[in-house]
Amino acid sequence: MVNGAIAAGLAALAAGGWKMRHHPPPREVPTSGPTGKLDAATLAVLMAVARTLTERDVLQGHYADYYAYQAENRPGYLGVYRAFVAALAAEIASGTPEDFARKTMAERWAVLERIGGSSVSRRFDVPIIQETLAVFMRTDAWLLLGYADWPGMARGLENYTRPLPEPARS
Amino acid sequence: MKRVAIVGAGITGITLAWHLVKAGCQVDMFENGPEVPYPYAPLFEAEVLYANQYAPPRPSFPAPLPLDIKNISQTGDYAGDLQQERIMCVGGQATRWFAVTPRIRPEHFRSFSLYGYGRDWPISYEDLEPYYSRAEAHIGVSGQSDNPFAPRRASPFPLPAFALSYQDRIFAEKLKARGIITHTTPQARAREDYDGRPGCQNFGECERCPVGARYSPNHHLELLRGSKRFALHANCLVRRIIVENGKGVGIAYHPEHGARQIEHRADVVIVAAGAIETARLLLLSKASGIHSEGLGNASGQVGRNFGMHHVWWNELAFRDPVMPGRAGPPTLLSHQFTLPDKGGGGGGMTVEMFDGVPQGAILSAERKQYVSGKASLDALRPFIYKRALTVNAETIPSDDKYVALGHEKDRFGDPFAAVTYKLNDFDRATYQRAQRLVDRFGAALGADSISRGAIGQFWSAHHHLGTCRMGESLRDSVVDSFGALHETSGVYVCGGATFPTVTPLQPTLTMVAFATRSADRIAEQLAG
Repeated sequence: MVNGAIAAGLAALAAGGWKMRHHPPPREVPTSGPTGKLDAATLAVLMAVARTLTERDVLQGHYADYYAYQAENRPGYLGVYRAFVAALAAEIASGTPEDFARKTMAERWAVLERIGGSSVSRRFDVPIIQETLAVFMRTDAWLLLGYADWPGMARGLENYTRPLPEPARS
Repeated sequence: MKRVAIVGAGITGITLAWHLVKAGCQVDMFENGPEVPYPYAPLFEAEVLYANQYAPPRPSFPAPLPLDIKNISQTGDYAGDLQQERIMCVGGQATRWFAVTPRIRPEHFRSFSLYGYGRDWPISYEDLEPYYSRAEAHIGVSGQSDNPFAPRRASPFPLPAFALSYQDRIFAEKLKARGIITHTTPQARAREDYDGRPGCQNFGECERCPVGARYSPNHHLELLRGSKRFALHANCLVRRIIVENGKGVGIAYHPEHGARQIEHRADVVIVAAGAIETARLLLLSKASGIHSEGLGNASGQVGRNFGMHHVWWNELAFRDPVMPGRAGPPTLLSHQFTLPDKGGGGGGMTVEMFDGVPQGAILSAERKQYVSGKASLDALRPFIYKRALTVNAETIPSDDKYVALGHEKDRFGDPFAAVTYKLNDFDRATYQRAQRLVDRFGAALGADSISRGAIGQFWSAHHHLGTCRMGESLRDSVVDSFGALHETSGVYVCGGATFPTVTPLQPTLTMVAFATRSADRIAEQLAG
C-alpha cells in the first residue's frame, strides 16, 4: 500500500509537480507579520507536506524544528503557515486539515497539486515548498547521497577519517 | 594607573587589551559596531541550521549599521564588495573565519632583498618567533610539524593537529607520487578542550562555530569583562585622534552614533580598526603643522600600499565520488609553492584543498527551485564528484592600490574611505603561475575536468592589509615595527594595516603575534 502510494506520488511528480505543471505568478517571501509558536495541528500538516515533497514516510525532527524556528523568528511565517492550513481545508472537500496528514502520499500530492495551480500558490511556494526542499537538500539528501551525516550536526572527529560504507557510495 | 584607548575591537585590539590589562593598564576599547552573542549558537541557528536561499538570516549577526555610519566606495579590478567584507562588530572579522593560522616564512620578511620585489619588513622571522609561540598559545592553535616548508619553531603546537580526511589521504598519496607535498593545516580550532573552550565536534561550519571551539576574540573579551581595568564601548564612532604638543592624548567619539561628542583622554591611543578604517581615521585626524594632511601622514604614506590576498577558486571534477564536506573545511594544504617561481615568474601561493561543505553547490541547487525531493537530490548529486582547489596568492603594493578619503560623507560630515585597487604585472604573472599549478594538481589527481577562476574573480578572503606600513623611517613608512607612529608619540597602529607586503600565508596569526609584541612594548614604556 505504502509502495503503491509512493509510486502514485512519483507518477504525479513525473507528470509535472507543484511548479512545473503550473506556472505560478511571482512568488512572495514573508517579510512582515507576527511571530509566535506553532500549534500542533498546523505543525502536523506541515510535516505531512514535508513527507510528501521528500517522498519519505518518516522524517526526523529537524523539519519540525525548522518550521518552529521560522514561525518564532521570522516575521510573517506564522501567518503563512496558518493560511496554508486554511487553504488546505478549503481544498479538501470533506474533513479537516488534520485529515490531510492521514491521506496517502498520492492523495496528499494531488491536494498540493491543486493548491499549486490556484491563485494562492504564490504565497506558499517559497515558505512551504521551496524551503522544505531546501531543508531536505541540507539534511536527508546527504544521507541519500551516501554520507553518514550532514553538516551542522556534531559529527565527531573520527568518522571523517574513515571511508564511507561501500553500499552507500555506490 | 596608565590609560590606554584602543580603537577597534577585533582580534588585534582584543589581544592588545588582554595583555595590557594583565600588565596593569586601564583599557577602554571603542568599537563602531554592535556586540554579538558569544558563543555563536544564535548565529549558527540563523545562518546554518535554519538558513537557505529563501530565508535570509533574521535576526542578522551583527545587526547592520546604517549607511551613514558604515560605507565605502571602491574602484578598480576588485569584483568583491568591500562594504560587505568589513564586518564591523565586537570581535571584528574574526567573529567569522576559518582560523587558518600559519606562520609567515622567514623569506617573506625579506622579499625585496631575496627576490627583488615587494619590500623588506623591518623585523626578521627570528625576532618574531617568540611572539608566534605566544600567539599560538593565546588563541589555541592545533597543528603538527608535518609541513617541511614551515619555519623553525622553538616550541611545539599547543594542541594536536586535525587529521586529514579519508579522501585527503588518497589525494595526498597521488600528489606525492607526482612530487607535490601536502600536509595538515595549522588552525585556531581546538582539537581538544583548551583554555575554557570545548574541543571541536566537527559541525563542519567553522566560520560560524556554535560552541567556541574555533577561536574568536570574543572568548578573551568575555574573560576581560570581569576586570575593573577594562571597559568596552560598542556602537561608538571614533572621529578623531587628539594630538597636543606632538603627542596623542586621546580620542573624540560619538556614543551610540549620536550627536553628542565626547573626548576620552588616554596616555596611549592604539588604532586597530582594520587597514581601511585605520587609514581613514588617521587621515581624518588632521591638525596643524605636520599633521595638516592627516596624522602620521607627513610623507603621504597613510593609505598607500593597500593590499589584499588574491584567492582564486577552482574546482576539480572526478569520475568517482570524492564526497566533500565530511570535515571542518581546513584540511589538506600545500606550502610547497609559497616562495616565488624563479623560473616561470609570479609570486608565491598557498594551495588548499579544503574539505569543506560545498555551499555554492547547495545554494545553486536551491535557486533552481526543484519541485520534489527526487529532483532536488538529482540536482545535488554532481557535487559529490567535485573538490575545491583554491590558490591563496601573494601580492605586492603598487601606486594603484590605495585608500583615500572619498566624496561621500557620514552623518557627521566626515568623508568615507574610497578604495582604488588595480591588478599589476606581478599579480598577472602570479595568476599565470596559479593556473600552471592548478593544471599540475589536476593531472596528478587524475581529474576529469577543471573549472577555473578567472583572473578577475579573485577574492580577498577579507584580508585587507597595508595602508600604514611599518618601516624604518618616516620617509617611506608610517609606523615602526611596534606600530608606533614615526611622527607622533603616544599613538600606535596595530594589525594588518602595518604589513608592508601581502604574503601567501594567512595573516591573522602574524597579526596576533605583532599585537602581543606591541603590547609588551607599550606596557614597558608606560611602566617606565
